Amino acid sequence: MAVETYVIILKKCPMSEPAGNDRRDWIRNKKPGAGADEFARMAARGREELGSEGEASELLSELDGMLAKRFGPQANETGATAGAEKVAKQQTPAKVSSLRPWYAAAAAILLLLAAGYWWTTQTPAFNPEAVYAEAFSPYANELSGRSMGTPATMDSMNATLSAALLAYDRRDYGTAADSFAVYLRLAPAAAPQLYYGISLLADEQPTAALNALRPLQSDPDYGDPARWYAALAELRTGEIVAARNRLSAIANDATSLFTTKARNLLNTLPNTTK
Amino acid sequence: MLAATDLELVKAFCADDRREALGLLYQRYGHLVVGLCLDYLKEREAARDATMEIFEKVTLKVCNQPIDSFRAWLFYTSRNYCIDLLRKRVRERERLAKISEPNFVESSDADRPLSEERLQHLPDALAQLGEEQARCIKLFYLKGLSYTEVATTTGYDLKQVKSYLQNGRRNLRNHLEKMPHE
Repeated sequence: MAVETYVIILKKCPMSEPAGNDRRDWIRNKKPGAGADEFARMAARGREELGSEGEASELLSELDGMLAKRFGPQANETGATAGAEKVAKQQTPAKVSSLRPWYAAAAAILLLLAAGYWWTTQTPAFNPEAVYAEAFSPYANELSGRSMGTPATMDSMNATLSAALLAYDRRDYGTAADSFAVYLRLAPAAAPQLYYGISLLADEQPTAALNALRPLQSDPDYGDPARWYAALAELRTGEIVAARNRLSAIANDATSLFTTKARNLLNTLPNTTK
Repeated sequence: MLAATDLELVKAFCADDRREALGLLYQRYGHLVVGLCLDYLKEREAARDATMEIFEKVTLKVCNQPIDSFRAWLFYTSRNYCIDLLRKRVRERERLAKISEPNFVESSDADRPLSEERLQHLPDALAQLGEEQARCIKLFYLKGLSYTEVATTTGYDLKQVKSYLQNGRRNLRNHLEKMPHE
């Protein structure tokens, strides 16, 4: 049985590593094999948080629906798996089969037209936090490993900076921001100032982040990332016009590393005067 | 397209803007992502919402990253997202606990807050706790219940809840510290 399932997986999804259990196995709470990777192992353990197969199947169906709504109906048409389809079929018994074929076809066309109309007239509510969450990713730590001065005289400062960078790498942004603040009081510099601003931003302190990032806007080395993260901070504080202006400048700057990101983000912002 | 490899689907989306390729990838891995989120967050709705957030992030990032294995990249992206969420949640719980019960979260280094720990190992560490402690920790930290609500849900009295939480937190931290570094 296990061998059969394995062959089916390979046939359907050749690139899916054999380490993973498939969707149907997950719904059935079937444990992955000994060679399972961390992803499959954790997913199987997470499955135990749910009760019956029906509950697991229902959760995946919900996800399918949300994915279809958000990313296009193809998610349902091309990828629905047997487990999820079973639930859908159980929920909508074969009423369509009682119609004559041409009625069914007409109903399907009308349904598609209605769905298409609904789809094109939907204007999803703008949620700055959601947009920010999509756009934010931490700037790469370029400082760890660099010598920040003479070791004999700067051990304590370097230890503070190391602690800040370690916390930053661990995405513990509150701790990182606190340590960067201590370090900057001892040795103000553009690079730690940038990471300080990013840490504040990620720690849900966008106003403080803006204050930290603004002085860097024309810095030759760190101005580019500082402008990008300042735009994200403005997004979080609700200053949409300011964010839009800053993003437009980045999008038109061919030398910026954030041009594509800024263009993508601009497309998601509403036209507003606030 | 069903037979396409993960990387072929990524390419179809990034190079040819074929969104159905992305839909197919999400179908392929949706159960793994939501399962991983359940393992970390221990709550159905939170796991479902986190999965959607992760896929939104993936949609924005997938074309800008050098990806050798989509599965591995998705795993790390999902895991990092859940850890961030977990850290925020744990930190918020500790902040609230500190306000309502100043003596509960001690400030000494020996009993520092959980939010400082390597939370990527939390599910493993949680599995090593005794049943009562694990139950209280899940309800208090991950589901956000108050002490009283934890007591009502579990049937333990308030004193027991506080004791399980205090000891559970200490044991959890000890387990987390013993977990291997990546």
